[in-house]
Amino acid sequence: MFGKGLLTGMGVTIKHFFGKKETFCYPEEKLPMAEGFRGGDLTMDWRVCIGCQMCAMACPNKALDLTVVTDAKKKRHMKYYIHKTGRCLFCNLCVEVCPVHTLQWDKNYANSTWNKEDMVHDAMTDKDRADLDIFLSDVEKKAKAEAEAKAKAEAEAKAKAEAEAAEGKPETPKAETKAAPPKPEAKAEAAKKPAAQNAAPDAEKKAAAAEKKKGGEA
Amino acid sequence: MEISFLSGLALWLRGEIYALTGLPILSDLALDIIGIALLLGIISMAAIVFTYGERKVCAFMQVRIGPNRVGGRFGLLQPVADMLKLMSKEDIVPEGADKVLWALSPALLFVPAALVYAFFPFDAGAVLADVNVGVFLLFAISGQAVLPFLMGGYASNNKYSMVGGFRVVSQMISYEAPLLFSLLGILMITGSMRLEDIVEAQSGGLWFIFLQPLAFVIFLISAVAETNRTPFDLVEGESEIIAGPFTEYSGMRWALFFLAEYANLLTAAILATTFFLGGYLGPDFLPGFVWFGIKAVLMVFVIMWFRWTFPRTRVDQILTFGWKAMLPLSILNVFLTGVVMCALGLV
Repeated sequence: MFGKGLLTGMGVTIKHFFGKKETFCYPEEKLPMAEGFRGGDLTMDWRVCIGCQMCAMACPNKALDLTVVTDAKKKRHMKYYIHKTGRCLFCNLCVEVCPVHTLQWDKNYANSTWNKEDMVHDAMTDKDRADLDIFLSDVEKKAKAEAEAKAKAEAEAKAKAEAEAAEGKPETPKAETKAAPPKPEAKAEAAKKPAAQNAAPDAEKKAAAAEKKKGGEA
Repeated sequence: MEISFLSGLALWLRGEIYALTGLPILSDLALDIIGIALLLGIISMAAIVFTYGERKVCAFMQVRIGPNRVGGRFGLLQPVADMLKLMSKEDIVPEGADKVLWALSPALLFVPAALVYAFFPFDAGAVLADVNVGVFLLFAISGQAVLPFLMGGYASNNKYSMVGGFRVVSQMISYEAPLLFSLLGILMITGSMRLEDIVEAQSGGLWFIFLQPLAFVIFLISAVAETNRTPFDLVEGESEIIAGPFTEYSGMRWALFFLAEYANLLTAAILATTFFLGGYLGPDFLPGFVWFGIKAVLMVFVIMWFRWTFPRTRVDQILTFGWKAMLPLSILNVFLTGVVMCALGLV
């Protein structure tokens, strides 16, 4: 009465005037989507991805078109990770199946297009591919270098051995000591053989027993 | 007469022009033209700034951001965009309209709205028309604003416009009475109708808002009703009668109505400042006209605050309130002022 309600109302509006605003500049700012929101494009980190392609296998709609390359160390890497948004039914199976948990939704819900052809998204960007190429060549170089080092080491070892062998022929005592070690191996082999022979009869016995059992049952 | 920054500037300008031309008439004429141009500039600037301000105030009170697209993050060019839009709009004249009255109405409405600015003391000595019956003339002129509304409403040949025009007449005439009676107490205390005298009577921080608080409340409510703003915007009442007398107007003709509305808004704020808030008086670290501006803008904000807080009243409520509450209260205020003045032996 007597304007008390009016003053209350004015208090409410002035509080809102200085308070936090509920709206925001939409295209520049967006609401954070819920954790379980499925939508938008798929994202993945090719450094984490192991190229197992289980996502493509899990996909009920064949919406994933993957291209995998193998590096010099025989590790697989994703080169093209094409997500056909138009085919996708956003069932989340691909994300669930990912063993390294790198496949995620980017949650960008504003992804309508003018053309059907535009409804394709590559999770691997051109920059990613450039990085991948650098990585692949690095791996190749490393592998080559390792192979060369290995070959070198082998060659060196061989040369050393040959040289030693060449040196060792005239010196009989050394050759004798070198020739001596193989003997225990031979003994061990000899010891194994009887054991195998012993095992075989056992197996025969068992098979015979099984046959007997069968016959008894019949 | 006290010389302030603005009046000193005017005196210096007058002297310079006189020294250049040697004709006193010419210097007076030049100064008058400058004054008129300044006042029109103030009115246009007020309309531009207040449209933006109103949008932002409205948005903030409704927990929104408001204009933020045109002119950077804060939408500072929004009034420019609005103006361009209004100017580029087609000028539609309704069929069966009384074309002369129809075209005359917005122009006539703007005249009293702009004319009253001549009497405002923006600073000590800075008045375009320094008349000793300032208050009387001011309300006589602003009272003319009723007719153009009715003209526009009648000439539009539209039911809604006509109803809006009727509402303007009933509302504005009803609230003119309490508005004037609320000021009568001040006129009794100061004993002068000259606006500058009224301001000077409030020197020393003894503003009339403290001496006449009831009159201030009555004045504020009546001023809002006079400017046809919410909660008394029955004239427009968009949910009932579309836009009242403005329904058929578009483009620049409508913009003139709009300009007059914002000029009236500033007038109401300036009147409240002059009569109740000590006008251009204030501590010395700021010049008088800055204090005047600060107080006026504050009052404009308060009136905007009203608009975005209160819902629209009904026609019968508004008239009942005007005649049965505001008028008796304002007369009581006059009576009480007289009694106190008699008791203190001021008469």
